Amino acid sequence: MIEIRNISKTFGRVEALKPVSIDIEDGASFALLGRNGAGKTTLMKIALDLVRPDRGEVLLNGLASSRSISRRGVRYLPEHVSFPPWATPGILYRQVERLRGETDPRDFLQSCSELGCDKLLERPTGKMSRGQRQRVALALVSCGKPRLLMLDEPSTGLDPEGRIMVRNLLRRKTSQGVTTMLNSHLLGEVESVCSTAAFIRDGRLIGHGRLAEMSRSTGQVEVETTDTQELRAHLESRYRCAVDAEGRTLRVKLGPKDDFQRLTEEVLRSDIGFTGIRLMKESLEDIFLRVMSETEEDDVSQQP
Amino acid sequence: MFLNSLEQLFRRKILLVAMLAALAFILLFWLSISKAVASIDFQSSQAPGPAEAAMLAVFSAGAVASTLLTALVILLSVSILPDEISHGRMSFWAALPIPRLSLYLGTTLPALACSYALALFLFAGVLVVTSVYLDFTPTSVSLAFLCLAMWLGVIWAAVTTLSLLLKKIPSMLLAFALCGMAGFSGGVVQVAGIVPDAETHGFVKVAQALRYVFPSDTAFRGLLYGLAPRESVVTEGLAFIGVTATPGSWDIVYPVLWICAIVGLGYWYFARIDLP
Repeated sequence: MIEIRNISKTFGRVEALKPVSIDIEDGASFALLGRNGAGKTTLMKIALDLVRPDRGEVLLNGLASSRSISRRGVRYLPEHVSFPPWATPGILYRQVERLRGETDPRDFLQSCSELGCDKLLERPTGKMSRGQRQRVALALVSCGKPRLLMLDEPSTGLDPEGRIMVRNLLRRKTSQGVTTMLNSHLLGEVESVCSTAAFIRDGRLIGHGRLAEMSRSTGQVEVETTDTQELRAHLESRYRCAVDAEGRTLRVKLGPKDDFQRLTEEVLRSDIGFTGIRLMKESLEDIFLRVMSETEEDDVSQQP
Repeated sequence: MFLNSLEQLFRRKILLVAMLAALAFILLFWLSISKAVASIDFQSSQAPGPAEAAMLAVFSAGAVASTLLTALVILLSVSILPDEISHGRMSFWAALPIPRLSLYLGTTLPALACSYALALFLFAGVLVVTSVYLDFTPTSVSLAFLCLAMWLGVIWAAVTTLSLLLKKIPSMLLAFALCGMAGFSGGVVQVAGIVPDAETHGFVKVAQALRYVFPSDTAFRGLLYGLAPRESVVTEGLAFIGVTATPGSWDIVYPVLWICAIVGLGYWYFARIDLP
């Protein structure tokens, strides 16, 4: 779907992107992650031919992204877009559809309803709050039959309810086979929507892959049991244990020589009833911090 | 894109102001002509003939209308494209499957179209009002309206391209300066055409060269020539504001080529810029 090959870009003296190559498969839900100014937005814009790279090429649907036909079915939501203040969502929809060459007002209405802006259809965008404008922009981008959604900070300015609506919308689109490329600092949102991610730091790709595979074990096991105190007493001689605030879950810290399989066997042998046992893995926030700090250490160690 | 940009232009107050100004101009012109014709005794030997009076009316109205239209085409052309880019809307449009050439022309042409429509209204109004009071047949209305499009096209192409390279105010000032320079150079060339041996003068040669640098005046004088009454004779005293000879085919072809070249240059630049 998207093939990014050796893309580099310099703005004046700033090297915004050092050669970056990423392949995003059809139907993937992909996230670009990195600190502010890492080059995520630049990469997204290069993929859409809005910014011209110094070197490298991007293929969209197998065609060079500089060819307008390659963007058929591609929808892009910029981080900052300011619609004319007089334009109502209805007028904006008409303008967008005129250029897309497809018309399905019912689908736009459904998107508006899904994003909670169906009551704003007659209101000029100049009289809307930032969050309301963002909802309208998302509805414009997501309606119809997109094949690829490229969203740059889609939840900017949205309230918690709006963010949940965006997540639901993205999940629905992903389930329909729409490829999504998300650039967001809201890791919770990314975690709940995306299955693959690329990490960018100072214009360099420092890691990418499936989030499930990138997530390492935290060395902590959560056991949901009917008798936390008894299980704790049973395991405490060997493991460091803690009971959560509600008293239903026992948290067990595995040592370097322990393994999850052995702990599970010990819990089974104790004859204390339990309803679940799981090895805790890193959250996306943990992965993000680890990947960023690891590469930072590598950079320091490589300095003369 | 053309319709979207046109819709956007129609929402601008400047267009409404220009339309009201054009209407006011036609009304004032009508009032002036009616009063002037009533006060002239065409039977008198010292009075101008109807054709000469019509020519004076058309030329003087043309000079005023040209100022209004120059300001309008500059103000409209200077803002549309830079505003779309700076507000992030161009990124939104450019991500759609539309070639950049369509985006460029679709965004910028409405300014020319609106200016041309208003110009047609103004000059057609002047012709109608003049012909009601004076016996008058224009030399060539089709030539006049073709040259009108070329004249506005030259200014539009220049301002649109300048607006990509410079900020709004410098672009506008430079465009006004170019129009002024072209008008002055055109006047010098016209006068030199009726003064013996003047064309060999260095100053005239510079003026002739400047007309090629910015050919708006060549097209404007073609417009005046087309509107001038067939029966009238342009006197030496009118050379500076009028035309002393039929515009040659090169005078018509050159502005068209110039517009194409400048639009091409603007597009070349637009196609290579990074959209914010």
